Amino acid sequence: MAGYLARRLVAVVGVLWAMSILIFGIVHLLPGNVAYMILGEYALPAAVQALEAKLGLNDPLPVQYWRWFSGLLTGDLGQSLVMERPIAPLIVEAMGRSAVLAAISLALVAVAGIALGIHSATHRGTLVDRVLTLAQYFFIAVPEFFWCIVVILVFAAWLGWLPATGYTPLADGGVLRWAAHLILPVLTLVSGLIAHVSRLTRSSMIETLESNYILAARAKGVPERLVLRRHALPNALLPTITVLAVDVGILMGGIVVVESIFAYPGLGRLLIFAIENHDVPLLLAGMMVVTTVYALANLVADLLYAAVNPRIRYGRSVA
Amino acid sequence: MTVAAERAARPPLPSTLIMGAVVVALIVAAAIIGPWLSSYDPTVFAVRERLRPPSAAHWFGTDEFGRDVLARVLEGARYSLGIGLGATTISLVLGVPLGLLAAFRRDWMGEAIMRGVDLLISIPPILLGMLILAVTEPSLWKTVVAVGIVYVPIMTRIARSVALGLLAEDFVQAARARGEGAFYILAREILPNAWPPIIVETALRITFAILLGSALSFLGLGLQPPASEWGLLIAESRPFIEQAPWIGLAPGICLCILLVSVNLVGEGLRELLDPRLRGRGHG
Amino acid sequence: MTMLLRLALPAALAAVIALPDPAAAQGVLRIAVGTSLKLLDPAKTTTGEEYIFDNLVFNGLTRMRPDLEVEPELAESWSYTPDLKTWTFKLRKGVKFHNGREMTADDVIATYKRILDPATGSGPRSNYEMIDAMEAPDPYTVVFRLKYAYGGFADILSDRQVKILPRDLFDQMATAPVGTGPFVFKSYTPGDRLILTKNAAYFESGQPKLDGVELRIMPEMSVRIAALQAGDIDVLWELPPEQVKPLKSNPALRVDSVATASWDAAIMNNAIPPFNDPRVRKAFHLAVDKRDVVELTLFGEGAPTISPIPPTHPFFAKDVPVTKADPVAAKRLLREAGHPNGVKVPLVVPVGRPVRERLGVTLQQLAKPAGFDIEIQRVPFARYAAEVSGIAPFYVDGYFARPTIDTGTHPFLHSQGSWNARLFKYKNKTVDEALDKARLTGKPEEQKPLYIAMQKAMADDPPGYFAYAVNFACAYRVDVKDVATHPMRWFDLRAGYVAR
Repeated sequence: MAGYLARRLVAVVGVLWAMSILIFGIVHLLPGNVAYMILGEYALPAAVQALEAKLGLNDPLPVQYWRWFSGLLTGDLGQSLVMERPIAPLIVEAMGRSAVLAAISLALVAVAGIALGIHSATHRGTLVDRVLTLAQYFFIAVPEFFWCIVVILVFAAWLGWLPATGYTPLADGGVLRWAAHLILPVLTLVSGLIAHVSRLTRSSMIETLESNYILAARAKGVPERLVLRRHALPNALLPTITVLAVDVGILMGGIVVVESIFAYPGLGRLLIFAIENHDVPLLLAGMMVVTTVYALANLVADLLYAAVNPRIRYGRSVA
Repeated sequence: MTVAAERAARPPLPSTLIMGAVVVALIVAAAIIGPWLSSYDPTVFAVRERLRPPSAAHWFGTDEFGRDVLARVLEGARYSLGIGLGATTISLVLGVPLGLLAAFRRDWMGEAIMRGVDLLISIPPILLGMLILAVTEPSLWKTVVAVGIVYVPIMTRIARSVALGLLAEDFVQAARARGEGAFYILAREILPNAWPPIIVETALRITFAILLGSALSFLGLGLQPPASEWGLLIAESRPFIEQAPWIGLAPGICLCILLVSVNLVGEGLRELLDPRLRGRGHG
Repeated sequence: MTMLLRLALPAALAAVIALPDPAAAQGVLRIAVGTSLKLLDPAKTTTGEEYIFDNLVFNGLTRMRPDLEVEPELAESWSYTPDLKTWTFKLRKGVKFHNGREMTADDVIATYKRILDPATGSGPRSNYEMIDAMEAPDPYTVVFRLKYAYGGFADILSDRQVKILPRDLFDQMATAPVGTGPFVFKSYTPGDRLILTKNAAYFESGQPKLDGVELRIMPEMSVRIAALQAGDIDVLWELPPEQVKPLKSNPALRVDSVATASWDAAIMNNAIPPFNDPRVRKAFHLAVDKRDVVELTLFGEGAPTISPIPPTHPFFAKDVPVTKADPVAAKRLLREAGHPNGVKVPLVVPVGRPVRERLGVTLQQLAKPAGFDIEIQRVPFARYAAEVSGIAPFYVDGYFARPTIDTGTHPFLHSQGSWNARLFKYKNKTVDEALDKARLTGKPEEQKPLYIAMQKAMADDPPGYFAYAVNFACAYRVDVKDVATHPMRWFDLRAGYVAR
């Protein structure tokens, strides 16, 4: 296990390094001239050239890459071109707020999704199962951006129950206000994912329950509760674990939309700001952070997968 | 269980499949012949008819330019269907073979595939789509390709994880013990048994592809106005959402109906195809 | 149980919302804006949101009132020589920066030197290119010597970016700005809020009345409106035209819409086909009736224009009629210009500027019968500078009001004008002469016939499609008192207060 972990960690570092090259490459394909963006539309060509030289934009790409990457290694994320302020504190603050949103949502998705899925699977065909299945179909289908608009329309504009903005600082009015502002964004983020996870858990649970070894266990007279907990659950949760890791990515994507609409000052908003304003250092730093978080989530999923499935022996071939 | 008994036990088509297929068929039909059904041109303005609520003349009301919302939604169905099917086909055709290969060849090749997957999968789909579309001028086919590429790694991963599970199964190990070749095992043992989960996933993937395509349009990176792609229609309706909610609700609800019915088709197919659901174990 | 839930849940939620917002309790005015401020250094600001900030934290030598008259601010008074080339400003004594240091003539001169230095990258630098030299005979007097006579010099010193900054703190302006204004910078979280507190030592005694101001950044218009209706914010800056009528009917709100000189146009590049031929430009004006454009794009919240001079201004040429749509005449003109089958041209519109996007779609549709086959291309506004302005043949753009008619017209329409060089590349002798002459006189009665002649020349030979002057509206909770919508799109909050 330790060897496997070490190998996977090395792989993650490798992926991140490759990612830094990929992102750097894509970002430098972005159309638009950075110097113009900073100096504004009516900058004189001489001023544009002077700034380009100052920022090192005329150096060959590998040189620029190395300057950026070596800074990255020493923890220097550079300075936002558009805002003229250091990037690190911007990213750290925004990431903290996004992490809160993501953590609450993911915890809800995992707990509610798995619980609902198992309940449906073990109560197949009952009214509850049918209602849940129907709800799953519906919630998987509602796009976040449409859902945002609908919940704002209903809960904020028509009913006036909840604030339409997604953020208020904790220091500014206490936990209750802070939590009230989080309800709509979290609701929007999790509805589709809970449906996704519970549906997957249900179908893999049903499959497992009908597989031979469960039938065999039942035939041997193992109590149903034990069959579920000891035999069915670990196998049934395998696809769920993979999907949860994928869902971290969907969640991060959803956060981009949700943060924009609910005025939540997180990493997603910062990334959109960076793309819109062509703030290359900010965009690079933001993408690297997102990628790192996501790679780690996938690593955790892989480790869990390996830990739960006894047949996969940490990367050795199953011959 | 004998073959005859199995035939006799074959259940009728699942109701989910029938319901889903009927609705999808209706939407496809509406997308194809809809523009002839509607007496309104989806692009023509009518200043005096602006922001009218749904009525007998305009079933879904009119938008801020007095355009008929129904006519625009009908036209938009083509885009959403096209993006969903096109992109999923791309990810399926590229992703599944890669995934099977990666599961089977657990040497440098499998490693290379999975590291490539890790690389692409490390960018959340919407951000990858945004990056791809941000560096090029947006257009319909670029949206399709971008969404397709975004989902290749996920398809690969799912196919691999399904195949990995199957590789550990006794019947595959038995085939290996018989000395069967890689292609035989992949094509004859793994693929037929891998289909059901892949089909379920594909149905989900179509939904996600339609979703991502419309989300990108919503963010301004996909189709361009006056095109009536549903995500774009919803985005454009935002300033009027309280005054004239029908402008955004109509395409939004249609999008949801399309996605639900595509999902139903997937679920129905799964019920139909998955041998385990018919009570047959494998091996 | 369900009954109880149905009653209890909303009540509980309502109780949570009703929790007092500490900011509201303290007499803090909360203003909702759409996009994050990029820079806090007034010399480099470029967006409406940043201009609000400029006018709360800083002062200029002069100030423009909501009625567009210019009055003294940091300058107590000023005088000029009869040739309009030497301007002497007497500064107020005892005005302190937020760090406690007194503002003197050296700060004024350093500020303007910085604006004039191309390396600073200040947007309106070219508006001040007439400044030849500056001197400070004593700490409270600044003398500007101009290269040429300029009648509106005191007026242009009221502009957004030329705020007087402490000469020793230029470097920290981006992160910790310091000014002399009624409010003091406290903190800024991009994407969330900018917090300002009262300047207790403000030089105009008794002001400001508010304890503070917060700019809340909320990208989504429907969220801003819901938040305003719920009382989460007090002021909604820049209400889109389609919302003016619906929100006016809400008794908890006050909607204040004013005519402004801000204009939108379909910019035509006069240097490249198809709009290098004046007949094609003219044909487009025959194709589209500006009154229809105002109705479709602005829901009536604006008025057709000919140039950047707004219809509300005394210099507006009232006797030039608004052209009725005449597709037949437009087609004839296109045929003469060598386009018998019409003109196919892409029109770039900015993503995220809904009114200007709507202008693009409006023009696309209305110009169709006259043979203009327009394809809309949406480009993020941030990419305009590098890819669109001066390059695309046809694109939608717009500009905020300038402090004087000269600064609003000369750079845009004169063949040597700095903005014209990037926008229209327009050359018209009559227009050039009128602009040059009007600039040299400070007397409105001499300027008026010149500007009217210019507009007539432009009606015959249009540089591009100046669509309209747009009204500017803000929505306020009714308990916000003594705050008016400013036609320059910023706020003067010195006298404002919240009656809570």
